[in-house]
Amino acid sequence: MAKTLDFLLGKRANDPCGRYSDHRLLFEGLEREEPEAIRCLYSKVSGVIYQLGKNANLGEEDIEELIGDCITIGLQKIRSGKFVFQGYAPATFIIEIAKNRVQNFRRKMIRHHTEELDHTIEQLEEEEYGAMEWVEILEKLLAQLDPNCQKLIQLKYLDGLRDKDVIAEKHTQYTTVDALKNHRSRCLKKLTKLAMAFRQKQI
Amino acid sequence: MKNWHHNIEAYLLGELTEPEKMAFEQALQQDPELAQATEAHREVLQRLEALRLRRVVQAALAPRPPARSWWWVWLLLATGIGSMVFMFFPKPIKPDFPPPTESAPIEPIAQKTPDTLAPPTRPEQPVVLSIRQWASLVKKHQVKPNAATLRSDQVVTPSEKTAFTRAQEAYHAGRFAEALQLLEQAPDDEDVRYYRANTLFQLQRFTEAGKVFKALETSFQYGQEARWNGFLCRAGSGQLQRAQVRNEALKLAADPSFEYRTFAAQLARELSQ
Repeated sequence: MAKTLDFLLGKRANDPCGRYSDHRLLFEGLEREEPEAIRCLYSKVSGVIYQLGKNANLGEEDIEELIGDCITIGLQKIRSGKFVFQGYAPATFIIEIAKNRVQNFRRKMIRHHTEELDHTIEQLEEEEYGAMEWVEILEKLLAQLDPNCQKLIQLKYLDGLRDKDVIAEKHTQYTTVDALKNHRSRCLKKLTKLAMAFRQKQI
Repeated sequence: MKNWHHNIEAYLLGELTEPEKMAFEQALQQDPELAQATEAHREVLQRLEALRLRRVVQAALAPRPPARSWWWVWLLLATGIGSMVFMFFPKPIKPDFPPPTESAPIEPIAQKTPDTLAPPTRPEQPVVLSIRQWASLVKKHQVKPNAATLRSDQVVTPSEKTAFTRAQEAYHAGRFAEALQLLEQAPDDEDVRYYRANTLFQLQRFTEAGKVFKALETSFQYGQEARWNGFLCRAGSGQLQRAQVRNEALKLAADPSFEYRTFAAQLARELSQ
């Protein structure tokens, strides 16, 4: 009865978790990168992560970014097979990621006091979570490539278009898949060189 | 000796055949430089994947118009059904009483068409647009060439004229690849360049089209169209973020010397939704 009333009053339309009545359904939705599943996960984790961020004196924008980053890391882990469904809530996993990130942030803030002690732990966490900062750097490096290279990389790796569709739909000037791959390979090489040079500068 | 550096991407994407893969892995063990480059490529691909996922998350979490409530649709349906019951079910006949001499005329009930009963639907505008969505958006706003924009006093030989005329016909019939080929045969003048730019635009070769439009921006005849379509090319090629496109459109809309400022205002409005 309550469900029928919710439906008649349009409450289900506002509930992002309407389609994901259990943890498995939500996990499967996230596996398929469904926007509704991402919104459902956000609704489940945002309150807790918001509080974690506030406790760490993070600003509103930083907290929003933190939530987005944690969900992105969660999706990455699902794709890479490091996070497999074992019966518990995907939200729990994301909140754990958030706790680690906040701890990492706090440690950075007081690093001058405990640098020696934290060095090893931080190294481990950088490997896991520092990747998100590198994503931002990569985005900037990508913008340094010529427009054609940017487009070739975007079509394949960010828009997820198949090479034969790129050719068929004439997104570029290339008329064969081989020519397209050949050029993109050179673009990727340029991007990799930029990334390596940037890392050298950092060191 | 084969230069395996060209095959790194194919190797990481699992696109090499089994013998090629084995040979590549052998080369990896013998060539430290190749191994280092492969590792660096692997890292870049992982981050590109993370960047893609971040955009997926940003698009999913972008503010959306509030979901519509459906209670009024149910109310409307119930009213409709009630009215029909009232209309079609005859009242019980009471023969003991004389028929009324005067009766109030029954108000005709407005017939609801399916259109008026259906809830208003408006497609949601995603905040992060894919290449396809950009292409479709900019195509919608493109200022297209028409026969009236052609100079009547152009001086061309009959054969040259024929190639251009055929190109125009192909363009307006939607045969853009053919139009482009014919334009290559036509003598190079502003009309031909303008059609070439628009044909490239239609073929979604926005970067090339953008260059031709850029060169036409100083044209007396096509300057305004080239400015607008050139801007759309930059949007269509993914060189600009959504907010940047909106801001530039707003700037164009505020420019009194720009003939297509209403187009720009409309685009800015659509991107604001």
